[in-house]
Amino acid sequence: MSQRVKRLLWVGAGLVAFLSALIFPVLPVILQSLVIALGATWQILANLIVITLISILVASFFAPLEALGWWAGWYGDEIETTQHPGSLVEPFPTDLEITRYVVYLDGISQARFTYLPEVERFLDALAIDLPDNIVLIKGIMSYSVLNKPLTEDRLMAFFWRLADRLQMNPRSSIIGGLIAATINIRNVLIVSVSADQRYGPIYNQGTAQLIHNSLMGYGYQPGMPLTLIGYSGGGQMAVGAAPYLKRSLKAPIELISLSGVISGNQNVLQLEHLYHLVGGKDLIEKVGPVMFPRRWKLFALSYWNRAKRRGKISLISLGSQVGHNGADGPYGDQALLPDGRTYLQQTVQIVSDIIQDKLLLGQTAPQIHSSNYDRYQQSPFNRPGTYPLHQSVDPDYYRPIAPWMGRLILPAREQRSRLKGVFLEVHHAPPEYQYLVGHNVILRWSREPQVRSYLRAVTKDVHFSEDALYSQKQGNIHPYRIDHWQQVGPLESLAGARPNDDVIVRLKDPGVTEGAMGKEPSVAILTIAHEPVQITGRFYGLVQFLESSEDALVTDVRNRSEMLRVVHFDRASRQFNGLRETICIPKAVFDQHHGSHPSTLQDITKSPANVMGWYIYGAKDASGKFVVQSIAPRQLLRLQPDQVIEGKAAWTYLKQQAWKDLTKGTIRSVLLHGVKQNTAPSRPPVPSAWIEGDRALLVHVYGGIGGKKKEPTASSPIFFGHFAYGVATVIQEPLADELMFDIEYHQVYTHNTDGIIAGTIAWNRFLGDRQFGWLGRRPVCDLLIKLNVFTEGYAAQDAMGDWPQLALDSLIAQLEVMTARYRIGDGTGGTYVGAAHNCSQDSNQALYAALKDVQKRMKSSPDYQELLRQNPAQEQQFQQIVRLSKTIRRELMPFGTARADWQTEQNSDGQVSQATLGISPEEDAFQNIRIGLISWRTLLPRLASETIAKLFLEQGASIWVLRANQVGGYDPDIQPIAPTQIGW
Amino acid sequence: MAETAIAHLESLIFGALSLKSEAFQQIQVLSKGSQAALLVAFIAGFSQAIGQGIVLFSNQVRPLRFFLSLLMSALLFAFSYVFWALSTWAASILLFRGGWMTLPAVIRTLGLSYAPLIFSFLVALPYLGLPISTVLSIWSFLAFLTGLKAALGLNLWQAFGCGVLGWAVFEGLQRTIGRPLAGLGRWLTNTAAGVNLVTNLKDLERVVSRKTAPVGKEKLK
Repeated sequence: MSQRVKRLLWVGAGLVAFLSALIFPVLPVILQSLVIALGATWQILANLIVITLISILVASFFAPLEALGWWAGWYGDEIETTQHPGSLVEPFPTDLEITRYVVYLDGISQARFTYLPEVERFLDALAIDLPDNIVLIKGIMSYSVLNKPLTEDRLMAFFWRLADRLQMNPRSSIIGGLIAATINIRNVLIVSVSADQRYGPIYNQGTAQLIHNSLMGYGYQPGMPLTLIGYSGGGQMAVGAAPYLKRSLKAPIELISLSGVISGNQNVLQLEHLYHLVGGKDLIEKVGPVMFPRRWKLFALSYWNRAKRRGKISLISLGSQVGHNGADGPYGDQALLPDGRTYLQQTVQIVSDIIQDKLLLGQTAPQIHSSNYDRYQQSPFNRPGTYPLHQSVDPDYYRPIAPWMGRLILPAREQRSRLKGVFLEVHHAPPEYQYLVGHNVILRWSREPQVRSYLRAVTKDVHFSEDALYSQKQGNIHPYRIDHWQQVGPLESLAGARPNDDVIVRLKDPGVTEGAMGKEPSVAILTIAHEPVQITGRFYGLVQFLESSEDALVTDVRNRSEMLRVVHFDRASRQFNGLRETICIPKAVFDQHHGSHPSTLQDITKSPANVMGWYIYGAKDASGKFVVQSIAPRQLLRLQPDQVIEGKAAWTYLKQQAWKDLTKGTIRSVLLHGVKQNTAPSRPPVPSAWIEGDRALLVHVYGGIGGKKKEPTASSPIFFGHFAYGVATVIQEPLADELMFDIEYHQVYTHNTDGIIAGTIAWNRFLGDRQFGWLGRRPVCDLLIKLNVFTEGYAAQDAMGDWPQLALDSLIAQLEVMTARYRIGDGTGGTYVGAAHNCSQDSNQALYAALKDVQKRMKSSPDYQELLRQNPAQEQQFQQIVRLSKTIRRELMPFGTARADWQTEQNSDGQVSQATLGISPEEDAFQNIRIGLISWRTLLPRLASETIAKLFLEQGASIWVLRANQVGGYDPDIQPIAPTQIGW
Repeated sequence: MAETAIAHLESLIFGALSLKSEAFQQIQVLSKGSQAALLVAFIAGFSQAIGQGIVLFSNQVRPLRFFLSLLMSALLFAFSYVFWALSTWAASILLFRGGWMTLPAVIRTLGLSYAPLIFSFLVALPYLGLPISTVLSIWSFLAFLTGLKAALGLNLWQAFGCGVLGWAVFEGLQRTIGRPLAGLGRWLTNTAAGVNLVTNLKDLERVVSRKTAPVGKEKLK
């Protein structure tokens, strides 16, 4: 290194040292001031944050005050919330019948009656997309119970006006943005008021009042379907108001939550359905599941989580790119989805489809385990297609089962709004309507008031719950074809109950509307007031099976059928010496679930019932051979008792003898006459005769399948059995020319593997069917109860045209409600056997409701009261029905009003206010058992039937006991099991 | 002399809030300790009355009576606190049979342990109110345990037992010989409010859904 360089280095070092010495004393000062400056800024910032927090805290305190003051009536009477009843997005349709109302509730940026431009764009587009008969209402200020915008008539109105202006301006500064955000903060606080358990009930009632006022202002009639759309915080507002609206409007309400922030506190179970639309980048919506504990999975019994399990909530994704608001929110009209639509177009499409019931939600998973029903389809005789539509039979030996018969066909979803019913493939019609046979006609409900109220009570959106999906996978038949359909009525649930359109029914006196051109089948409409009755077959005959060497059993292996020789009953000689012919009796498919054959022909000629002969039900196949689908022993159904017992012995028989003889294949028909209590013993009981046209209340109980091939549930020492109510009508049967019981059950039946559908089922279907029925495998006891005041009514009835229904009719109405509810599990798609809900409990719930109804109507009818005063005899009848219903209700509810759900399930209008079906017993095991035990008497089918029978006997009723023990062919591998007698 | 508990109220309250045993020892030795404790209870009572204002609103109490009711609740709260102290004291006698825990000492401890309940007005906050109320109750009970432990020389389990038994005795008294007093309290509250107040949360909800809103032509049924 040269000397010069060294010198330069030294100079440099010295310079640095000098400068350092110069600066060093000042350095701390510089640093200090820097720190101070920074500190001051922090301080300001910290203060600002504290001020903001305190302001929010103070604002929080005041947030509920408006609603609370309104509730407490502090503002006096001058407040008028009907002043701004919202506005219509499109003008009101004058000449159209409105089918639905839609109310839009905006998000937390709302400060006045008009919305942000993007929201208005959405509503305009939606209104264009919706048909004109749907009314869309906007402009309700749901963030104020007084319907008062922030920008008017308030202390801070000037500030809110500024904030709103800044909010409307897309190019405002950061400060402007912050000021604009105060509207959001203010409204978030209101959302928290609505979500609060204490303030919520008050606030939400206020919102409901606003919506109610608005609807009424635009011609809404209670009962019309309503859709609430809630965007962001509006979602919570809508959820909060819905239960109150439901109560006052008595209408089906569905809710579309658009990026909604929703607490789990409100009762979303009351909604028809909640559609929750969320984008993947929506950070605001995600606050809900975190901030609201009731939406955590931990709180499994919260309304939200229960609704989710019950299939009441559908989560619909708006796509991974969609956020909460602004350009990338659901109303964004610039950003494009992969399919080329804007976010806004997609949102409009989905919302519009939901409102019009066009949205396709994921269909249910296929079955994993095959069902009995599926296996039964393998045999052609179980398929309706086997039997040609046009048939004729020899009227001397065959008769149609009913004048009107046919096959129900579920319409396609897009046909529903036009059809307002289902199709019926007409199999048989009275002579004047012969031209309809073989054609599909429309089957609808009539428009009578009681039919309408029935429809209101049972029509529900159907969305399968987790339980229903699971049960379906296990091989049970659920109505999956109507899954995700809105407003499914009882006809659709019947037609769609099984995977195939194979529900064969008879109709009771349908009204027929023909087209203007006359006999044109495609425009004919049948209307009914009662549920169609499920039947088997089309024609019936009365025969005896023949046993002779030359007529030996011929088995047609190819058709899996057996040909059998029979001889028909001859009316003139009153003996089985009429036509001899060979008929076809197909083999029933083996029942894997219960482990036995549903029916057999083995030794059927040796059956004791063969002496009196059999009614055979069926139709001809393509080759013209009569195929027997169902049988009924004449001995059981004709009005010829084997024994008549009167007085106290009647009850003893019922209790001790009725189930005693379980000899396989036997039938017993015993007529009991009760003695009215509190009557003088000197007066002998007067047994009332059973004549044509009489109706009887039927109490049905069946037992179990035991023996070598016993059913799985028969393994335990206690066999519960099955319970059902029904109606038996005495008819004059033309083939035998004698009186016979025509029996219809109202089966409250849970979803099952056989495809048995809850509803009105004829004897020849429920018991007699050789594939689906129980006659050959189960012991059965039907009690036919005839007590004039219950089954026939009162003398006063004729005097009064619109006199309330008879007790029996009232019961039928209640059972039709219950079975329709069962078919769709109150919208969940499934019902399950548990202690609280099962055939027996819910049949008796219907009885309870019917008795209550009758008593209420009698007491509230002033004309009737007057009539009673004039006629003491009727007064006595009246007292009898009151006494009967009191004792029945007392017996059914031994612990007083213990089953609160029976009391509250239906409100005064007969509407089902709480949908309690479709909850699997596991979901709320403890509650389920508790309820079951409280109503223990109706939990056990046999005890329930005996209790009811006893109470009727005590009122002097006449009871026909029809017992059958595995009647038909002889199956050596099964034995009848009586339902266990417990409880007496 | 300025060495009264009233003068030191602020530091006493902060001490109790931070569960410092010194605060509870101090209030025992400073003069006017009992008055200070009563004051804390009154403030806590007033705060709680504000926090539970929803009850008054739900029952549709008019504005003037509303404030009257707030005052009345505060007074009743302070009054019931004395009885609570009494029952805790009785419990301590039952438990330990020692005369070394005097009634004024229990009054002072219990009163100061109400310090966290001064924040009870926060219960009125929408949505956050209910969790806050739970937190405050637990906080107050912890303060009470600290107080019993520090000022009266009990160990944690003794203090806990004393607190629980005290609560049981209080509840028992309320349902038996205290009934006329409780009835008097209810009568006072109802008189102040001008209506028969429904206070239970479940019942309140029922009241709200049964009563109709005060305004609007088309009333919800």
